[in-house]
Amino acid sequence: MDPTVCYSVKRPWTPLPSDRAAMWLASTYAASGCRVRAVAPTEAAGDDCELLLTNYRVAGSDHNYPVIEIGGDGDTRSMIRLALGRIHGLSPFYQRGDTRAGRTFSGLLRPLGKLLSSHKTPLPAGSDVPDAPSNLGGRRVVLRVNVDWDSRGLDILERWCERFELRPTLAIAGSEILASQQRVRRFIAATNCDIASHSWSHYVVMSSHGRRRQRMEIADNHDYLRQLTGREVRGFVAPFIKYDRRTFELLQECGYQWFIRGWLLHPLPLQQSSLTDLGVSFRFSRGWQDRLLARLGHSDIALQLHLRDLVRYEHLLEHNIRLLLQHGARIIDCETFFRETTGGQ
Amino acid sequence: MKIKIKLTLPGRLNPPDRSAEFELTGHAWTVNTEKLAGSAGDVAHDHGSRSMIRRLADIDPALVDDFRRTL
Repeated sequence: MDPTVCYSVKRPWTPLPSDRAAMWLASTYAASGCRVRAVAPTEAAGDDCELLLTNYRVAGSDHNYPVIEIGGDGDTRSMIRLALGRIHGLSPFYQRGDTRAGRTFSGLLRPLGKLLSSHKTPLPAGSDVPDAPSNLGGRRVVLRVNVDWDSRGLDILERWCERFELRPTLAIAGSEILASQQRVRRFIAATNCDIASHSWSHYVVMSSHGRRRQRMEIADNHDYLRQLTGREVRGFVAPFIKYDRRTFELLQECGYQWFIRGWLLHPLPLQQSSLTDLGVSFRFSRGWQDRLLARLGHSDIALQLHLRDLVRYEHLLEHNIRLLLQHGARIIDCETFFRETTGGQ
Repeated sequence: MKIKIKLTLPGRLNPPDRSAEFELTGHAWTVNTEKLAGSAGDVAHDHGSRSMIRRLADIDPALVDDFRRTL
């Protein structure tokens, strides 16, 4: 039987850096074949637990498994940033990207944001890129495309689906496709692709809204997608990957099973909930094409793209899809990934 | 971000060298978790636990750098 690793973090809903580090570590264990269970509080780890990862302080020696305690100096900074964000959230211009005043206000703040971010500690030179493994047979690449409406992007995706027999996940925000419903419906019928919800409004930070607005964003889009596609939608991707406790409660109410939030090497069950975080695990930063194959040597990867990225990097992405398939990787959708990794039905 | 990792083994007093505090980079990760796993390896109560702790030191440094970029 696979060994069982438990994890327990203080803030599973809105994680601070030490929570994220603990969850990321748990996902590395999951990627290497361990069974990972979320427990709360830490005392509930139980007899089958063989290792506990936590950012709680674990007292004494009254447990019969090793414990790895994770702490960090970034938590206080993040708490302050969250509190400031909450105050900023009360200002009339916050989240008003759809009005001229909002856009102007955001534009005025941008140089200040850049100045503040320049204080961040520079990243290290980074580790060397290892050689790509010659055979990636069995490795999975999860392809998810968020729909920020661009018909050219959808045309490209349709061509790829036909040429490479892809079945990606489309994360759809209803308001984005209102004017192009027929086109999207035809695409779904032609490709039989997987559908996830991406909130109704798209440009919305869920965690800074109350339950009523969040319900509107989640439940309305859920109903809309169900009508559009005629099937159940079981995955949710929050814009800006911002969630709070209410978001997860509403997702469970609507019958969702998986969501995308963390930087994880492998899907991880969310503590105190029935949901699973499929995670994102590949960054399209400079030199990504050199790292893509090498990265698959360590684990499956979950990609996040937008329709506009497809237009911008069409040839580069197409070349890499071809390369992945030649090396034996499987390109799959989120629902299949969820089913295969969690045994969900 | 500095990360602090402390390893506690069951039923034993844990000396301070079974904890490490370091800047989260691939290189530091390799060096420190290697030390941590080494200090626990001979006293961990069974083979299963030893390999679980060992796995911490086996995480590829490139993945650690990748993760740090998200913090």
